[in-house]
Amino acid sequence: MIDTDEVFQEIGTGVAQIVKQAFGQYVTQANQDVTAFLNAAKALIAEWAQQLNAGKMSKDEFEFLAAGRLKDLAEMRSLTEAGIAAATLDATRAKIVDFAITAISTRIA
Amino acid sequence: MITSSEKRTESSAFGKWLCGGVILSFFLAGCATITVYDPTSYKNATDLKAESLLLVQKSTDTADKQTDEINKVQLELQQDFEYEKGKGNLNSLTVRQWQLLADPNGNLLAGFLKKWKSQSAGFSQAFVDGMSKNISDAFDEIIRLEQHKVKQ
Repeated sequence: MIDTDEVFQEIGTGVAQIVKQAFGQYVTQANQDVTAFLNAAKALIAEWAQQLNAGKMSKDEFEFLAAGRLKDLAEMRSLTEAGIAAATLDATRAKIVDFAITAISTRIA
Repeated sequence: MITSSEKRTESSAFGKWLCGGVILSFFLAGCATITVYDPTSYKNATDLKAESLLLVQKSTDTADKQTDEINKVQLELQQDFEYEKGKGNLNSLTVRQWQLLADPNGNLLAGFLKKWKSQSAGFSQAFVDGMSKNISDAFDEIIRLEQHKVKQ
């Protein structure tokens, strides 16, 4: 006979480890991605401002580039991070289902 | 000693528990929050990125000399956008990314092409280099999101 308490204890421990590992990695990566995006944007805007001051591009061109970087690309990065979080959730859920089914099936066999 | 009645009760309880587990598993597995990885989407984005960047590099010249190429990139941009929209609500994040890229009033690919066609001269080399960087990074966001989707 299957000891359900034992099975659920094993599933609980396994699920906690799967979630901690998956989202721990995600949070660290997301923080690094956002920091990298902001640093890159800052450096590019400074470079374009220098080119504007040196007469290498027009004010209109500078504004178009800066808006693309600070408005459109910032939203694109946010969408990517949200999508990666959703994909991480889906992948984690699939792992949990596999883990739970394996934990049960090994006791039935 | 276990009686046959007790065995039936245990068996029945385990059966219910197992059924519940299986139903829960199917429920969890069925509730995806985002579309899965699509190799066609990945190829569409990488192909159009390459074509777009080649075209942007020619924009120090006037747009009327590149009319065919501009029209080709605009057509492919709309086709790829429609392909992503066809996947439904689970693809809303990727669809919004393509929408930003394809917005003629925005500051990425479609906005750039509209601006180019509306002026009589080409752009400065500094602007072209900056635009290449912005458009390249925009495609990279789309590609990176696709790469992170669950592969089946």
